[in-house]
Amino acid sequence: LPRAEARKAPAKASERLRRLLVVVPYLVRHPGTSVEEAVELFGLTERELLDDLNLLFVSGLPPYGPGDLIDVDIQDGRVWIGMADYFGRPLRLTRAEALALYLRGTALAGTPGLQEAPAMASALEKLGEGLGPEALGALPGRVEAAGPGSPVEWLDELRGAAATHERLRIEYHAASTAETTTREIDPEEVFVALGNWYVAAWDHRSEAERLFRADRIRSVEPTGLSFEPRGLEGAGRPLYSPGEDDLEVKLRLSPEARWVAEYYETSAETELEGGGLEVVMPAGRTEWLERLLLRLGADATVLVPEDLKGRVRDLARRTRKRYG
Amino acid sequence: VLSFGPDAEVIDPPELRDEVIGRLEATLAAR
Repeated sequence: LPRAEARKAPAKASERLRRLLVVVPYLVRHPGTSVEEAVELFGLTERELLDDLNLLFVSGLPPYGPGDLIDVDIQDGRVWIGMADYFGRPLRLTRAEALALYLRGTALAGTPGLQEAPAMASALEKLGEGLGPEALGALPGRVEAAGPGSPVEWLDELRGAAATHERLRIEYHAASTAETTTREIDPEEVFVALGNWYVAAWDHRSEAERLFRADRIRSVEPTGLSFEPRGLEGAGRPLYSPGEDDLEVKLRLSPEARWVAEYYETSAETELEGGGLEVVMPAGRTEWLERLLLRLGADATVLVPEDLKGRVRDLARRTRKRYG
Repeated sequence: VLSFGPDAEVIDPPELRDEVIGRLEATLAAR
């Protein structure tokens, strides 16, 4: 299906459930909230909100008698929800949930350029205090986010454009080709992975979905145009999008170079005696790989393709020349 | 520094410069 159509598909049940679990407790605690306010607050369309509330209307606990079903009342554009007191109970996290929340929150709070970081740090502190030493063990104070990634000069502009669906003109430095290009993009998701900010966007230069490292964006300029989101995936997506013309590169890594398999996408990994690893990596372009191999030196051996060895040797020779 | 290839050269400190040259020569000898 074309992406525009794919996006119109009904939301997944899991997404809808997640949404209901956020919206309903709010509406229970704030009786008479206007539809307009709820739509604005949760970033929904009015149709989505009303569909969700209609679904809720026939939900409840066994034995599902009229007295057990949730009562939704919408009058003059305002919403009341009754018979759903169990949603009003404070959220109690299990130890595993609290731990996951604390770790993800700590990683996010340590991300460079996040305006909400102080609020997040304060929320984490409260989470730690509220749950007490029993739930979080001796974790607070022992977990810190890894060193901050590169600062992102245009983060606010990128996040703002993604939120309001505005097309941007950017100058981008691609590490894979060492080229800076100007392109127009429709930024849909701005997210953090492995300590760096990424932008999942539709790239009008290649007429395809592209993932941009936000710290490699050299300039951002609004175009004044808006776009219809295509539903591109953000956080949690693989950072490498396989292409049809990808090469399969097979490398033998010494124990010192095992991090490569964790940092880059691999399609196969074989453990070797002595702690080394043999990996197969899909690669669209090899310029970045040649530079990675130059950096790894004797800790990585190219097994396939044969001509990659020659290109790394050539790169080493050209680099060596600089030093006279 | 090596991941920049010929686009970067270490000028100072000399120890790092020597280390980079050493690694480049090891790569050229091994491959």
